[in-house]
Amino acid sequence: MKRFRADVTVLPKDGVLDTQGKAVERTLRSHGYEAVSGVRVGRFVRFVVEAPDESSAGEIVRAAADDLLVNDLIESCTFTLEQLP
Amino acid sequence: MRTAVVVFPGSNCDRDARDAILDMGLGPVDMVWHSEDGFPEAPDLVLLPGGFSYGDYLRSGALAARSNIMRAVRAHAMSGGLVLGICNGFQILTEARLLPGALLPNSNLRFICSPCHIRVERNNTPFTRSFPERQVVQFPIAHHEGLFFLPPDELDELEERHQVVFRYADPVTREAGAPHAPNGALNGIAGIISREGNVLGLMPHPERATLKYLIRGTDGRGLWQSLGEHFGAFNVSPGREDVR
Amino acid sequence: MNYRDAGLSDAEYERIKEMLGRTPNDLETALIGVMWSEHCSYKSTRRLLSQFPQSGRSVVQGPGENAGVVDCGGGWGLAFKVESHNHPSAVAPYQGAATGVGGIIRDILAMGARPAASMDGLFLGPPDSLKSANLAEGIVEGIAGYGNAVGVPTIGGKTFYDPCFEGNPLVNAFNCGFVRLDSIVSSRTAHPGHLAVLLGSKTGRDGIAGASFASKELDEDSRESRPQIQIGDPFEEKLLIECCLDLRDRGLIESMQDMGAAGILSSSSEIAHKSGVGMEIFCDRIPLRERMEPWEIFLSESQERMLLIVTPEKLDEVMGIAGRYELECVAVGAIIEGDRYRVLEHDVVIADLPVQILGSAPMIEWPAAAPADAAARRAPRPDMRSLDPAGDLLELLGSPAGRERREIWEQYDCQVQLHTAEEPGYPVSAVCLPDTDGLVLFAMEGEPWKCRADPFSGAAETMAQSLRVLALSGAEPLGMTNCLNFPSPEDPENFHVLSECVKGLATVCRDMGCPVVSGNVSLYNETPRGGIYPVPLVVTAGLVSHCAYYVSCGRAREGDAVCLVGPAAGSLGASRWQVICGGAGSSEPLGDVWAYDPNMEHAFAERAIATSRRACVRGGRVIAGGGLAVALAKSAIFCGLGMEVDLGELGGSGLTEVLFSEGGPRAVYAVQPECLDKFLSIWDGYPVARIGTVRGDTLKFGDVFELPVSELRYAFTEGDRLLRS
Repeated sequence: MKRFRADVTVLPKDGVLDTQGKAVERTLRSHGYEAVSGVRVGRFVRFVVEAPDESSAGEIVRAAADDLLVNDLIESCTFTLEQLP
Repeated sequence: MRTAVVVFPGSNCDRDARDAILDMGLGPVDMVWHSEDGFPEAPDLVLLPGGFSYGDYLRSGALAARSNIMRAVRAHAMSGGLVLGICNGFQILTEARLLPGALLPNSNLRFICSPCHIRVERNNTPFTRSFPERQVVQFPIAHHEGLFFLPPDELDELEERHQVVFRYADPVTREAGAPHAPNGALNGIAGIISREGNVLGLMPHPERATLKYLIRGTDGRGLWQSLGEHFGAFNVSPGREDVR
Repeated sequence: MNYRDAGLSDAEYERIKEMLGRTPNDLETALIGVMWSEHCSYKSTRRLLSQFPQSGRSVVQGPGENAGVVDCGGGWGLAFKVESHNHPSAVAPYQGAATGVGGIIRDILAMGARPAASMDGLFLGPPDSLKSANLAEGIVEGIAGYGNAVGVPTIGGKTFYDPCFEGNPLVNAFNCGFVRLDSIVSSRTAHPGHLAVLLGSKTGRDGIAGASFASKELDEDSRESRPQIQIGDPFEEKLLIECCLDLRDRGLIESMQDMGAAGILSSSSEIAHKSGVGMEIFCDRIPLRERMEPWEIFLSESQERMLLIVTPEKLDEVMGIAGRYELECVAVGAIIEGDRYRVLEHDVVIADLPVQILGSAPMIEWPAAAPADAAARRAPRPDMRSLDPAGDLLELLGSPAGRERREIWEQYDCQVQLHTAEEPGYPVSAVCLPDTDGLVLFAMEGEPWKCRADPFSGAAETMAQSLRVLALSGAEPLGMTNCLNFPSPEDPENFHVLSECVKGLATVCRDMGCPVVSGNVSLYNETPRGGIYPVPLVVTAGLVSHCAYYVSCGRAREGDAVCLVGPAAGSLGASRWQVICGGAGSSEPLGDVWAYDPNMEHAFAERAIATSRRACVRGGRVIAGGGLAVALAKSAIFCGLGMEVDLGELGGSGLTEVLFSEGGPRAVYAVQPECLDKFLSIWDGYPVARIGTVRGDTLKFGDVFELPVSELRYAFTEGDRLLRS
């Protein structure tokens, strides 16, 4: 068995009201960061997965995301895996 | 009328819901801990109370929707039993996909505790049968994630199927809709019912407008009255109170 | 460890060596140091606090436990206490305020009571300062974030603004709870053979701020000592409340303590001290979040932990119940015969102290000296005259401290638990008593400006005001809790002011039969620009035997008589008008404060209670900040009706005094016409005058000025800045 670190990034889907993103963007721009746009505020989840290989680790992460970490009505996610020594 | 109030870790309106139902003379009420496999006795109504189940961590209602007792709640709903989700209970029902949609943070990004007027859009449900059609009532709100959201086509479908039961409204003009929503809810939606008409979720708190001598009125009695009438409960004496 | 790093003075260290008959080791020095700190020992104020009357008819538990308890009838006790969380809130406003709420809730829980309601006293810098506004926002969100999630309603409070609080905001958190009188938990009931059990969160480095303890000698890794703020978890606290009450109901605990300041050390040593027993704590059994030194473990202020005292045969059952609530639960110590407080690590004794020494910090008597300008500050000022009464009234209604604070209290769940009987924003907060038709009322008062101008009279006025508000509402006093917020006591002027304020509170409490059952002292509230104004904050609890006797403010109908009880004028010194509208040519609080008169207070209270019992008024309001003009304006706003008032009836006082002066037992009532005679007869022997009639939609002060109620409401709800822009 190998150990992988999974980094899951959950973001509101395009088209879903992102009130936090809007507020952060407004504040940033009012502080002079006019170059900033398209702010989205989501969640970041990190955990360790044990699996025989990277692709089965990926399946576990995807299942955990579908099952709990992400509400697919309003959110989408991406993730990366990094094998741990 | 036998009610099962499900208690999740972090629920905090569980006792309030019980007290409101008992005050209406509609006992017995069983308090059922989330880790149970089923209900101690077959309930007429399953109530998912307000609060901060699992501290609202991850997403409001997400962790509670996956707890053990929810299998029994789902089975009860699938067999046509009545389920009522109030506030966090509504959030749990959407996370459990027993109701469509999602509850997003309020548009002002703040918790709002306030008296709140809603219009009864349908009085042909077991939950609303004692209200006159399109009556505007006051049920208080107290939530941080109450912005009802559905993608546009699904929202249209929800409206076409008349699944919206409560809509935020102006008490004077009796107009209802998005401009009257304190939380930015789409179409001013405060509460919806399942297609089959047996699962109701709403953000406002009827149990907070039930007991006398408290702030914020007694309009909520109409909802319990409706349920009592539906189950023909008013000709039997109030039952015992079962506490977990 | 150097004893100075542990916060001990040379004299204190000598005394410790003498008491022990040896030199304490580093751990022992750290333990004694924190228990002898001002925060844990009240060494600067213990003598002053002994002036407070602590007993009374209703007192079940006076000061000395986690909270005081009074008998509120029907077999129920009311546990209540207010506590400061000022410094943590200045550093980390959200977490500081949140953990303040969590801490005071656990104090109430430790008495065996179910926490029933919270209130908060906030003293903030001006809202137009960005720094103050950010602090205020974080503090309010912290109170909301914690209180709402833990399921305890926040039913009211007080918000005050002054530049002296910029950078040093005051956050005073109040909580109360109900407990059956036969179920009160005491810290005096531990016996040898009992176990000390830790319930709740793991222990981490929370609250061990670097400054005095960042000692490299103690941390061999010489890892950077993190200044750690306490983080609150209301979810864990909610489980803790339900679990502890479940354990109490099942009779599984002998005693219980919350862990606040100085965590395990203070909770376990207090139980040993009060029960007259010894204690052994096995520090390697304490569940940790990270690797920690023994002194860190003992001083940690990690939140959401309780110390339970249980008998060995009940331990398994206790662990079973804790497991059901998904809480960690570990036996970490034992009660022993004798008087030793011992810490063991892997069965080796690493600290061994007499229990006595931890609780016997020597008192400090700081020198006191009246401020050089004391007489000038409180001298009567001749130069106080309003040039624009209507404009001043609108300014007072719209000022930060005067206007409606809806944007704050709308963020607090005020209704969970279904017993809140009055909306936030009213002069009193009200909770229904369990099982009966009675109400418990709370009045929170604090008067920084008056205490600045005249510490004794300001504090007396603060306390008297809380009692007047209760009496007008129909409540007999049950008891008081207080939070004394002051700058450094080491400055003789500050210590003098502190002493005068305590004397002022104590005098009124004694005269009026209101015992002091709990409290907290917060010293060293200072910023680079100087100390805060003195803020003795009081929360007074009162009982209304039946909710029908409750007199609310802002209830009136067209045609009701408007009556003023009490003298036509109080004092303009250090009033809202003087400071906000710049009376006496200054925005510093100046001038003479109302001089407390016990006979008058008694006469007012008796008649106010009789008025409530004989149900002859529609509503009433005590005259407070902003004087008669603001009291009438708020009454008009709350009931949505105008009033015609004839100032000619008020005799010779100057117009500004009549409109805006504060202080003294004075109130306005709306009286049904058919009850007017009865009302006047009740108030016979006390100044009383019919001054007007409820009528129309403007507030009309004779021919001086009139303002539409809608305009008053706009100023009150939207604030003066909106009005002027």
